[in-house]
Amino acid sequence: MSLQALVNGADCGPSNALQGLSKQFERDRGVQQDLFGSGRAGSSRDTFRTQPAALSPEQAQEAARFFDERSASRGAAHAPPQPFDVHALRDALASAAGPATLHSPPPAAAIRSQPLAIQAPSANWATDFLSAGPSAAPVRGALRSEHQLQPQPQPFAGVSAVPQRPYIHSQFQQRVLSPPLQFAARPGPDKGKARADADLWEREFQTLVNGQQPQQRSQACETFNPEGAVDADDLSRTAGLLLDAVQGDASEKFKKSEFLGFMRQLRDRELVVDGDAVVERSQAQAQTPSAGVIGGTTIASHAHVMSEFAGAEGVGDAAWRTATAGSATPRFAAGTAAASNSTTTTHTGLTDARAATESEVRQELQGEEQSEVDRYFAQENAEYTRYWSDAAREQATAPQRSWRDPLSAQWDQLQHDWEMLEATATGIRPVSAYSFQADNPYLHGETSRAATRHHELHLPSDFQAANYASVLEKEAMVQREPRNAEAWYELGVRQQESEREHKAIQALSRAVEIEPDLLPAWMALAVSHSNEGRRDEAYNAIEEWVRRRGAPLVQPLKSEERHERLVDALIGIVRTGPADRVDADVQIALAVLFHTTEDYAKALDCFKTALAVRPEDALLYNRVGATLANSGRSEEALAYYDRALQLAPAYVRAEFNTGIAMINMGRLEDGARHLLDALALQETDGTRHDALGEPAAVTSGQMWDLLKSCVIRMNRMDLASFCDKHDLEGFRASFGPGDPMSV
Amino acid sequence: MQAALPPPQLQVARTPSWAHYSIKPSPFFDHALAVASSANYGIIGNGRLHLLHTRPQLHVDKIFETQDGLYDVAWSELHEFQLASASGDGSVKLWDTNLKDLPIRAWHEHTRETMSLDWSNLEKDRFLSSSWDGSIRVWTPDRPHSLTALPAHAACVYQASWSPHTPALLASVSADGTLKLFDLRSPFSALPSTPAPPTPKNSASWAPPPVPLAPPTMSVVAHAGEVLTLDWNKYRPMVLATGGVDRAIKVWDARNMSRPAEEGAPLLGHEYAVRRVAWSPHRADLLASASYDMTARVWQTGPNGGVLRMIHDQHTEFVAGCAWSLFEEGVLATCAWDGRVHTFRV
Repeated sequence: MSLQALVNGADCGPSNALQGLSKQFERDRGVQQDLFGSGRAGSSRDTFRTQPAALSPEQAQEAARFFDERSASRGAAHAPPQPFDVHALRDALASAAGPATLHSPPPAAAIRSQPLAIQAPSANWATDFLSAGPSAAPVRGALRSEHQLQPQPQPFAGVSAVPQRPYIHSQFQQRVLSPPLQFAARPGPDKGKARADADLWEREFQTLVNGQQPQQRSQACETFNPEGAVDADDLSRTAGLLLDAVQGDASEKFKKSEFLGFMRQLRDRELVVDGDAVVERSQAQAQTPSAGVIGGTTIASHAHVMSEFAGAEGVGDAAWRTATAGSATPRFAAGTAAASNSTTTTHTGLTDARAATESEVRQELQGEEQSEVDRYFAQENAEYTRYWSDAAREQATAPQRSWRDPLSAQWDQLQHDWEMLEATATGIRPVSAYSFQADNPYLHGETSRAATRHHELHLPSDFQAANYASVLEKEAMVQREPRNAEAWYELGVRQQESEREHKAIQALSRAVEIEPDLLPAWMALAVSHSNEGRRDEAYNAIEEWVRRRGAPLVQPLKSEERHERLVDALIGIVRTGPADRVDADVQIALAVLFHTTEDYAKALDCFKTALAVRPEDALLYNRVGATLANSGRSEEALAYYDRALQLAPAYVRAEFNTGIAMINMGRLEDGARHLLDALALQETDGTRHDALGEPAAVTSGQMWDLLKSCVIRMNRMDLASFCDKHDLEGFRASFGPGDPMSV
Repeated sequence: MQAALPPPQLQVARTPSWAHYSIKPSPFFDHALAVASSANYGIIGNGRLHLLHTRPQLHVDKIFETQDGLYDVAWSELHEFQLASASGDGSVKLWDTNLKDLPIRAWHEHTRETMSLDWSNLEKDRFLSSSWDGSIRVWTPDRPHSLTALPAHAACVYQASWSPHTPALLASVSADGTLKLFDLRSPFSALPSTPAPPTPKNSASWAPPPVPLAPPTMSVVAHAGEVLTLDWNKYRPMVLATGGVDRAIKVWDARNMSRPAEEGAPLLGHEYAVRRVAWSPHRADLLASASYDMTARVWQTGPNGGVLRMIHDQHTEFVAGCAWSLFEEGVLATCAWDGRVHTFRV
């Protein structure tokens, strides 16, 4: 039952508006109880199945007969028969709609079971009832006129087939003088309106009194059955509450929800509950007169359905607002409810069909009149309240809802990326192809601000210095001096060493773009291209290099003969050069050329020649090793890789090549460890941000793929998934510490 | 290496105009599902017990009609063709899927709606029901009356559930906002297992004798507002999850209830009350939830609270029930007030 939750909510204080509202309800119910049920001991709230106590003898007899038949028709009911205890029902309503405390069990449940009791014997019951009615009615009427203290087993309107005129009169007048119950009960915003309604009632009454007897009867019926209207009203009211609770929900689903549509119809009284079925109003009019009362039970019962839900609102403030909004809606509903109810009862309760029709028409008119005015006010009020509560709720729930839009995160990321690009790539638009890493800490430091050294890269000392500087430092350097070809070149070489050929090529291309005479850049570019298997680009680079060395080349070179021509040109350079001094660069260029045609023996010769003049060049050692490995001599290659790593411990490519060689030799675990080291080295080049967020951006997919195939061959399926995710930490943790003695 | 199973398409079974309240998979057959449903969204009218078959396509296999809405269902752990249903009129009925139309047994002791049922998988001859009347009753199919009637809460007991690890230990959640643990081996004064004998007509009204609430083994205010659902973790003894109208899902360790379990920073995300939570029968850290926000969600609990793994957004009304397949890992079934049952792989 959590209308309470809606009302009491998480943070609703006792000064809650709806609570006040419900108190009012309870008070009014109290009046009704005095009228009909003060004979009951204690609060019906505590009893699950209340039975009216101490019936007057004749009533008891009547009731006994009545219920005997009823229970007989029900079969062996072990529970005491349900005496249509409307007191309990109404109390339940009061507490269902109001903020019953958490500790008093909401009795709505008791009612929940009642529709069954009522509906089960419906056929028998109706006839029983009609036959029992006439004799019972006078008694009741008499009792009522005395403000009887005896409980009524069944204050059912249709029963009064033979009404007592004087009684009706007094009862009715009383009703008019003291504000009609249903008006007082509703905390409508306009007390004056209620008064106006009362006047209307009075006028209507006058016309009726002066009119035909049957009309009076019908009026009387209505008088006797105010609670029917109230109960039915409560049903729509609760439906209204539920709807108001979710009206802030702008989602399509809630708008389209059939259940909420159903609630809407209940609220607007397009649907009424009849017996155990929900029927359209027009249909209901033709049906039994029990609709109103059962409507009352329904509201109590459905309260549990929606309560859990409505409770979710939980926001005290929202509940407050709902209360105000909710009070407006049924206000309007009441008019139609009263009309429809009375017409129904009239319809069945009277024998004179013609008279009944007359009165029906009359009341219908009245009802419409009423409802039109009411509808206007109600709508105005509801819309106003809705507007404001919508606005407030949207504000309140906006942050909570942000998760809902999966695109927003993506959008933020895009925006972020864009901003980063703008901030970091200022002035270097032409090279936007080279994407710098975000959050490069070196951009903020002073270290890379030192004057750019002019590197003769292939001099070993310089190479080491250059090699120790991280990619990030180099990037920072480039970003500071985007027109410095040297800086670009160094960055390119560094990237090359780090096994990032793509970025290396971008950087080197940029370097030769700025300064076409930077020979080492052309050579490095050639190496990168050949590593990537782009033979033509590699030839282009070598061609440029050769041309800039001043060697004569026939223009343009056809692709088929390029290789030969370039080799010829290079050999020509070697021949024309001084005999006592080997030009390492030319040798390297030749080696690269031979490498592209997989002429490994010649390539190896050239590299070894170059190595003879540059014994401290880690790059060369690596290349020799790679050439050896490519020609299937992995064992020998290891020694060269080893030497390269001694000279340049952070040489990712050498590490990677070592791993490849070992895997090729079948030393899987050692190979995996070297790959892991290579990946770790590579990762340190990334900014922390990247390393955490997108390791894939800095580590090469190629290495991961190789590592994956390696661990799969090792039957370590658990590790393969880490490779897919590029999760270095996870891999390392699962792989366990290596044997420190292994290579 | 086992090839990954192809994700089954979302399968849908429709039962127009029946609002589903609960769904449970059979512990005996991998193809059987039971769905408790009510007409008119459970407000009034009849109930229907749907038996669904998942092969070749998800479809309704059989139905049982009842006179009042059905709120929950529980498969027998003892007999592969039997299952119990919980009715809005407070009754509990036992059905045999091989028979037609009528239940094989019916008990009517709860004085209000029976909200939940749970069959014990340790003591397979008994099951429990919880009700709006605040009581939890324990039944065995052979007896005409309940074995135990536990006055558990002062308010509606939305759900009660046996511990899957400790016999006779059960947990319950209630509209009073508490989560309670009861050990049925400890003494308490039970409610009368049978209703008071029919009183002579016109005598004093029958009222339940004032029975004090049974002392719980443990009680904690779990949520702000009503607690609608709970479930025991199937792998970690004494770990429970609860969901309530405050939209949160909390994970508790019953050995230290002073606060939600370490991993139980509330799982937030549902926009309305959480109607049902269900731990995966295959993984200790996977939790499904169904909510009045018309979604079902799957969460992965962990040391830092939980991660939302999935949102199932296909239902068009309140999602009232969710249940994991017991036979196929990662397959979830959900049911909703839109009268549709969905099965899908998470």
